[in-house]
Amino acid sequence: MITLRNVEKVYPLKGGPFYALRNISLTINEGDFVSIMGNSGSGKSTLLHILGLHDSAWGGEYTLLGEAVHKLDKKRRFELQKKHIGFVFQSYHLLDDLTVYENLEIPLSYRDIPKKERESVVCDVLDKFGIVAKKDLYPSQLSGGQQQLVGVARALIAKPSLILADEPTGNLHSDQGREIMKLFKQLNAEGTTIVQVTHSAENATYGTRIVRLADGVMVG
Amino acid sequence: MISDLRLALRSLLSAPMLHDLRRALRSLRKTPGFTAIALLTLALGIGLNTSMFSVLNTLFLRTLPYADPDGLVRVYRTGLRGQTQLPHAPANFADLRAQSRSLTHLAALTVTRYNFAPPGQPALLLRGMNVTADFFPVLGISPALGRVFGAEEDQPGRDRVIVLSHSCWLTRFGADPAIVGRDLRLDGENVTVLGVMPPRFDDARLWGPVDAWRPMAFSAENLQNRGGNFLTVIGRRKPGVTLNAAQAELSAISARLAIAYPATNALTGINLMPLARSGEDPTIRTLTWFTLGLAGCVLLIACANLANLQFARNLLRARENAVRAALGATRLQLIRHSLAESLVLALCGGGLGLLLTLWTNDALGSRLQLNGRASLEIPPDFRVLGFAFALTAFTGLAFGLLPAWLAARVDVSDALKQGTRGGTGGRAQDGIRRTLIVAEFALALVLLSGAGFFIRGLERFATRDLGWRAEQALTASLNLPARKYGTDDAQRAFYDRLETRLGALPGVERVALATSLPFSGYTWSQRFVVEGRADPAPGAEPLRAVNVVSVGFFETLGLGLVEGRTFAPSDATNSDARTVINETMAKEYWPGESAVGKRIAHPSNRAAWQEIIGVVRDVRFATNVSEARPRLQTYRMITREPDSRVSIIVRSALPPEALADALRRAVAEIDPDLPVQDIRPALQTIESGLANFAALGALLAGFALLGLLLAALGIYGVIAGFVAQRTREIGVRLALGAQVRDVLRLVLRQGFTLALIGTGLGLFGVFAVGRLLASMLPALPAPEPATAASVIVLLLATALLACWLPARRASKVDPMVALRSE
Ligand SMILES: Nc1ncnc2c1ncn2[C@@H]1O[C@H](COP(=O)(O)OP(=O)(O)O)[C@@H](O)[C@H]1O
Ligand SMILES: [Mg+2]
Repeated sequence: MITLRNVEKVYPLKGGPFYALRNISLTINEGDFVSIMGNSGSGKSTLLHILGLHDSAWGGEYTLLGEAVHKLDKKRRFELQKKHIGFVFQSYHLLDDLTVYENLEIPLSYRDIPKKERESVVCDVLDKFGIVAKKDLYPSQLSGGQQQLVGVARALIAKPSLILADEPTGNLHSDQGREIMKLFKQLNAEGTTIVQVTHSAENATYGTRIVRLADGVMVG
Repeated sequence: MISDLRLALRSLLSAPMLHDLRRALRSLRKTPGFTAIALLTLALGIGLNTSMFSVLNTLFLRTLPYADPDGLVRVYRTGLRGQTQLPHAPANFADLRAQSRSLTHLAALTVTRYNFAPPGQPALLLRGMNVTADFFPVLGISPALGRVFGAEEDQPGRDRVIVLSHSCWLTRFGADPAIVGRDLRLDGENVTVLGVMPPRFDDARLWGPVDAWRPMAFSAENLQNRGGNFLTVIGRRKPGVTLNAAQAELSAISARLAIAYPATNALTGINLMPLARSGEDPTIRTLTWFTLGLAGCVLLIACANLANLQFARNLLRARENAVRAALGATRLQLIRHSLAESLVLALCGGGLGLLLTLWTNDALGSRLQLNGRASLEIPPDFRVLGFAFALTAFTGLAFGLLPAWLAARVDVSDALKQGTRGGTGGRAQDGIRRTLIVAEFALALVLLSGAGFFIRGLERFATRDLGWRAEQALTASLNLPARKYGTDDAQRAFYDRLETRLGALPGVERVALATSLPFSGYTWSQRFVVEGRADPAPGAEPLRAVNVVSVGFFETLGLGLVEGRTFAPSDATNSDARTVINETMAKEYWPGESAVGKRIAHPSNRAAWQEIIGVVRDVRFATNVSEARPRLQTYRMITREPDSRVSIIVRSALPPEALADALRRAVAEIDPDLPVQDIRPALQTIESGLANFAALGALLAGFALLGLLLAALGIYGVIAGFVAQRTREIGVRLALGAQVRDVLRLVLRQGFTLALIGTGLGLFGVFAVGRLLASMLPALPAPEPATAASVIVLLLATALLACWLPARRASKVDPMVALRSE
């Protein structure tokens, strides 16, 4: 599904170029559940943003679902991202002014899905995640675990084949974290490819594979 | 809140306040960008308003420069048809003066001109007033040099004396200290200078600029005259006598006179008014208030902007305030600190505004005219200073209080937990900031439409069809002195020679003489009755304007004939007088039939029927903004009713200004002692007659642009703040699939909605301003919806542009950077 060949990311700093990532070659197959681990500052988020097509200023080759990302223009990358990728953030990034329902609806509204259809999709997901009762609440009225649940639901709502999660449990208690991991596990079992960044060895065990980074270089 | 406010205000005066002030100064110095914008906004807002107030003050509020000005009154006569400001006849004035006990002095005056012939120099005109001897005691000002005239000189034959004004003494006589006792050649006779008045007496508000005063010197015949009303009468109340008491007494006297002389005095009364108010032009007065009101709108917009800036500043300081509160600062102390900053800003801004006022007053004064004086001095006095100070204090509180109040409402635990972004009450503040923007746009629309309506109306007024042609016309006036031209025949002979001579000048196509020119209105009106119709009640007869003109008047003006004919030389010797009337009169009195051949007469002289021989088009008065529809206009022949004051109209093939010298020479060849006054192309007279309005238009346009700019800045600031606050949200949206146009739309909608709501509310203001203008200046063409539509488009386009900049920035948010800031 994903092939990286000699991917590198350079920040031109005052003191000279700084390699946030260097020489990353990596293959991720459909159905994988990969955990990226490494110290703070080792380049995990950088890698994830490259995978998620947020970043376009990097070197090397990146093939996603058969498309050579490094050759695509901005517009095509954007379409690719919209179609296939869902994002989960460490600090959830739910929109404060919107209800749970409305938060879930955002990705759909950006994908020109008619209102009727959106309604049924959102209701399905609310149901599946067991948060129907919370649909009219605002994020501030939810616990952290519940917020991240919504965050995951939102990432899934447009039915991506790849989920990227940057420390999804970083702000949660371990119980809540486990809930999310179980959810990931289940999604993975249903066929979604998942790449998560995590600090926790326990979380990594839910995955099928671990990629370790140190100072921007893969170390296993 | 009120009690907190009171406490806050009281503590403003206490010693710790000094500390707050110093701290405010320091924090303002640390944010020079904010401080500069705030000061500029304040200086403009306060400066403009103070300047407008200075104009109002100069025109209407400043006390008159006379002794105990509150005791001075203007005595008007009232008429049956609701007129409240009529002049008096000499005999009635003499009776009022003799019988009144509530007024210490009563003086009569007329404004006039004197032909002054300095030895060896061309004759010139002095602006003068003939006044009764009481005039100087009424006003209570002593001369700076010599003396004024008394009752002994206020008699025919002994009246060859004159008192000069300070400015005349300065400009015409080089401030000659030995002027008293000198003889001047005035209107063909020698007149002795008695004295010179002090500079403070030169006040143009009541009677325009005056060069000299001479005795009224009523003749015995004049003192029998009750029918010719031409005197302005002023008086001074006895100390302790109220205006109402004086009014009652004079009314009683007038009632007795009405019984004694019913033919002339029936149904007339007395109307007393404080002298200071009597010189006011109601149109100018309401226009000045209107302008001050619009200037107030500018200030309110400025205040709203400043409040928004202050909110944004407080948001950044929320954490600081929370920490202070955690350390034990009371709410009052927090309010005081924030308020101190606003007040320091307002004070500095007010100071700058005052400086600005000095400059704008000069700029404005040089473009304004008052009573024929080419510029208006607008000195700032204590009242202006007081106004500026009050405005400054108001402004400081207006934009400082609410932000200070909200900033002090910190929830310590919340603010400290939420981190740097933690603004408590952020939502409430957002609401207020948006409300302020809405208000700004409503006010800006009022400003824009006010200026738009006025400027557009003036433009249409200036280019409307006058019914006559002002192009290529040169006008001038003469004042034939009674000594030389005392008889009708002398005047007639002079007219004759003048017309012949002017007609022979190269380039002159037509020449005409008239007692009135069609600029601001025909100066004279008379009652009339129509032959064969039922008489209205005596005194209730309709009024018609009268212009006494020469045969060539209509052709020279290019005033079209509708029916019948205009005057022919033979009409001068006809036994019946003949008259030409305007279309409006013909339609009103003879609808559906011809007015030609009908006859009208003065109610008190029904034997002298005047036959209507023709109907001409209505004359629209080029500079008269208060006459909505043409009134009844009639013309009579100048050869039948010669007048000492006569205007010349010359239509030329050359540019009219090129003829001025030739005209002056032609008059001098007939009579070298006769000065020609006001030689000017008609277009120039019109232009200068509308100069005040043009200046006002420019001023209003300035206000409107400033309002627009401030509103744009305001919405820009709020939307930029919105974008800054929501960078993360925008990043999330982008990460979730939003496209650039989605983000643009999100941000633009935020701003544009506010602008739209404001504009919608402002529509009420647009309507009100339109109505107000129409009632103030009925002659101005009614406001057009198209003008309103175009200012609305301008306003909304500006709003869109102002929101576009932050929206662009929002669409460039890099989700990576935005999201990384975890
Ligand atoms: N915009 C930037 N400019 C320069 N250096 C950056 C920038 N963003 C990240 N870095 C650096 O790149 C390295 C990798 O960052 P990141 O991928 O966020 O690490 P992490 O593994 O903790 O997620 C870090 O050393 C970080 O300081
Ligand atoms: Mg990271």
